[in-house]
Amino acid sequence: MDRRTLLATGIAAVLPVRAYAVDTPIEGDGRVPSDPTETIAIWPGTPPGGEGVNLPSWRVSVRTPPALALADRSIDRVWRPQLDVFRPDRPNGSAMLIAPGGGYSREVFDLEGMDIARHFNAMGVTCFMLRYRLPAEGWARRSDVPLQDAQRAMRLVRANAAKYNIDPARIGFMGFSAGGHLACSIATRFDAPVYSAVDAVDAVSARPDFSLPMYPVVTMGEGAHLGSRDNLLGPVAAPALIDAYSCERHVHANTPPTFLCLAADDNVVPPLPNAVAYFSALRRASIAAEIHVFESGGHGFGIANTVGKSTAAWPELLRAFARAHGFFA
Amino acid sequence: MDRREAISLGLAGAAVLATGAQAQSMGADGFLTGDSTEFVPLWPDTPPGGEGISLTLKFTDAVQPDGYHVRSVSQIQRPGFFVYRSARPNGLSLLVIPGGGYTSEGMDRGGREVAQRFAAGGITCFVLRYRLPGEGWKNRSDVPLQDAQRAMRLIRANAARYGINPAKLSAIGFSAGGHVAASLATRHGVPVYAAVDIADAQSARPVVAGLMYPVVTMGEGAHPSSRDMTLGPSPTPQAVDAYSVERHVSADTAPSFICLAADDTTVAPFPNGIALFVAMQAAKIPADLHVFEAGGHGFSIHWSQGKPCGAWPELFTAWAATHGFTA
Repeated sequence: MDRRTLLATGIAAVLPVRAYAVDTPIEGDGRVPSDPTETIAIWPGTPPGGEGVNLPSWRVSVRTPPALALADRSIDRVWRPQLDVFRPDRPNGSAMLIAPGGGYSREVFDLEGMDIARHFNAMGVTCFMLRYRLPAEGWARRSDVPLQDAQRAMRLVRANAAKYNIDPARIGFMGFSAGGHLACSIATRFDAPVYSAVDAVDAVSARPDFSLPMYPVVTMGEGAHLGSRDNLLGPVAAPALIDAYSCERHVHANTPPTFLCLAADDNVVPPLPNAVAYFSALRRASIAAEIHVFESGGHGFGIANTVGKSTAAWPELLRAFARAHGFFA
Repeated sequence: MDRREAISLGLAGAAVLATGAQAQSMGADGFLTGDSTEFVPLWPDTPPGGEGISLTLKFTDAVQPDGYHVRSVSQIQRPGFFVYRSARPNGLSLLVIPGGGYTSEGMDRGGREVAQRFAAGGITCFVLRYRLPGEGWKNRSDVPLQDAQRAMRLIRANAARYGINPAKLSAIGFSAGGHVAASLATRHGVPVYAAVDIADAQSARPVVAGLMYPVVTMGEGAHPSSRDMTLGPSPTPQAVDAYSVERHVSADTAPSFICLAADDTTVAPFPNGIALFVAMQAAKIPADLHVFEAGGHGFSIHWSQGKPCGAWPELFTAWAATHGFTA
């Protein structure tokens, strides 16, 4: 039984056997037996800015697009951010945090999370899927909430490298779509003070050693993905706020090596003002960077939606890029 | 006699040292094992604008530290193409256009080694030897495109002889040859010479165009030698505009695969390959863009081995197949 069959079977084990054309909330915690049981809480107590937040636990929804055997779950109401740990059979010392996308209103964690983690597990990479808080769910300083979680997650993984058999100097951060905005944010603002230290872990660097934004939301200016922008910045964002959260404007000399991948026919997050603009900023700053813009692939292809298409090449292109930097080896 | 002297004697003869012993053993006539000896001239008589021109073919050979020969040629009086047939032809074919800043043309880099790579996969390849614009021809700026268009038409007119499907002919060019291929992709139907025979009734449009670290613009960010050779000294703004390919993308432009390295310091990525991709996006022309982190300029096949950019031939064929360039 392959991974996808297993996932589909897992879903079937807890759900009535039927196809969900649209996102449908699942009763309970939405877990399936194949989900990892090892998790890491990001914050020891209430997350920053969480006083007064009263989310009724998290909500998992599912849909089964006709083209996919893969179950396609998403999560919102993320009151307790965490990492799901995916350990490989033969760890090679490299690690990757993975932030799924969903327009900062939810996180599609099968297609852009667990499926990705398992794929790179097979290459020996230890993966940590980040369930980050969503900015529009009542937190104070909403715009910094995803980055607070991402920074703290990087620090936790790096501080506990020995426990996970990984090299603290070979930790990447991959993100998809809005999660790609988070990947670009932590690549450029890894040391921005977006929360007060809670313990010794917060002295550890949050800089990713390599950055992997996939069809990322980058800009909050012209050409922004409107859902992501409104969720992150609020409905009427001032120019200064737009500037502060447009990642293409914050690339600097210490931004890590970056691999970008997207499709030219992406009509959800347009390539030119987002990934291509970011690549341009990276090169102006002389950052080692690579970009693959596949003619066809649309938005949100993950790995599951690349079968039989030219986009199917991206995980191997990424592996080659990583190996050239001494990662994944 | 060293290799250079041997080669400077010229390759006019067609004999090949066919020992098959080593891929890199070179005969006294400058031919390497595996070189095609099937050369097809493009023009029955004097090429367009060639009255009174007399050039003697000039070869150079830069032997790499690993023994690899990197030959190039200039002073091209008699343009044509070398046929690389496949052992298992699948009907597809590819015009391969080497680069050299329009001052010379690679024979190995962007030429023979590319043809051999794709011929191994069933694609019949034709390595173009085009005239260089700075060698005295009239209408200098159009000379490479004249030859490229004529080559496409001759190949199609003689499809049966080459065992190919004339509807499945593509083109791939490297560096200045990328400027030729991009010109073919955008200006395949522009009349740049008077028809000489029935072959000129054929279409010169490639099914898809492969543009490898291409020279694109003649404006700001232009590759200096390619620009100077194409346009001559002190070109007018109109001439700069006319030969800047990114300004001539139209609805009839062929789908294009653009591949280069971000660390290319010879042909700047942004005003060239990336600008062309952006123009194609604006015109809704299908385009695939791959910018590898490392590879420099001119990685072709030999210089991409063992590197991430070595994936390009597979990326090209996988993408081209989505446009009907498939057996």
